[in-house]
Amino acid sequence: MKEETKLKLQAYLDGEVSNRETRDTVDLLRKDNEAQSLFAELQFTKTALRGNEMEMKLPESRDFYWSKIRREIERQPKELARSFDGRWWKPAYARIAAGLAAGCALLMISFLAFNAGTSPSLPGEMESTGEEMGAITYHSNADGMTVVYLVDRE
Amino acid sequence: MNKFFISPIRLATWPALFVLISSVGLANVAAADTKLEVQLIWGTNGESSPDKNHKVLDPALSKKLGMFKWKKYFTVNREEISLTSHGAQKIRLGQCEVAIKQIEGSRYEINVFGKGKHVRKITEKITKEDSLAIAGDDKNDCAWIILIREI
Repeated sequence: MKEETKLKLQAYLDGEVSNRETRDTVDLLRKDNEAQSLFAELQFTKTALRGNEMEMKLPESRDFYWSKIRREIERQPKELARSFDGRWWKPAYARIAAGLAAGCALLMISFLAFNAGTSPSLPGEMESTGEEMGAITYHSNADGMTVVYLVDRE
Repeated sequence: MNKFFISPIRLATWPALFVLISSVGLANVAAADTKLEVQLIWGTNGESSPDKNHKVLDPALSKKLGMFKWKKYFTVNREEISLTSHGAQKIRLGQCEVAIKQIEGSRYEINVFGKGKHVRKITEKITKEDSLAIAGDDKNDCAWIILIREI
């Protein structure tokens, strides 16, 4: 028997065929013994499944069941955030953080004070007082030198 | 609580204050000790200087001036100055003059004068690693360079 014929028998059993296909299938079942036996097997299987399928019943109403899932989803991120915040504001952690902050501030002040004589490295500025004198500034990192070349415009 | 107990924070306060005060003091001492070398250099493509008083520039410094096009460099004048944080010093270098003032840390204000006339004010950082060269053209395709560096 062709695969297509088997599928047609299954569709007939499920009531999914047109009037013309119904006539053809009935005609086939009437004439073909193999088709008859397959149809009988399919009918038996369908009946067996329908009668013995386990039904899952919820212990609560459908709305309550889904609202429980929604509440659980909403609760999780809040709980995570709460646990993170709580950890940081425990007194022991706060004391350690305050100590570290004070230490860093002290180090920074000391560093700035030590380097007050050498640290500023803002770019150079230039001011011309004579219109007749221009300047070209160039800095060479390789030679460690800033060159201000004064050019007479006259 | 035990009356002999000293809190760790109180115990750490005095060493911390000591470090802070010492560092500020050391920084001030370091700022007052700034020494600069100011040189007037003459650059030429000739082999020798027409002035016998000019000395051939130190090879290391000549190499540092390699960015310029001249073949030879001669020291015309050389001065060493000590700068305090507030005073300005004026140095005569041949026909030109420079007034150097420490603004803050390694930043200096340099006023350049040519033939008694104020030419330019330059504010620049000068350290042992970073020198400042103020230069200009001279007659016969030569150049003058005022090189200022920390020593």
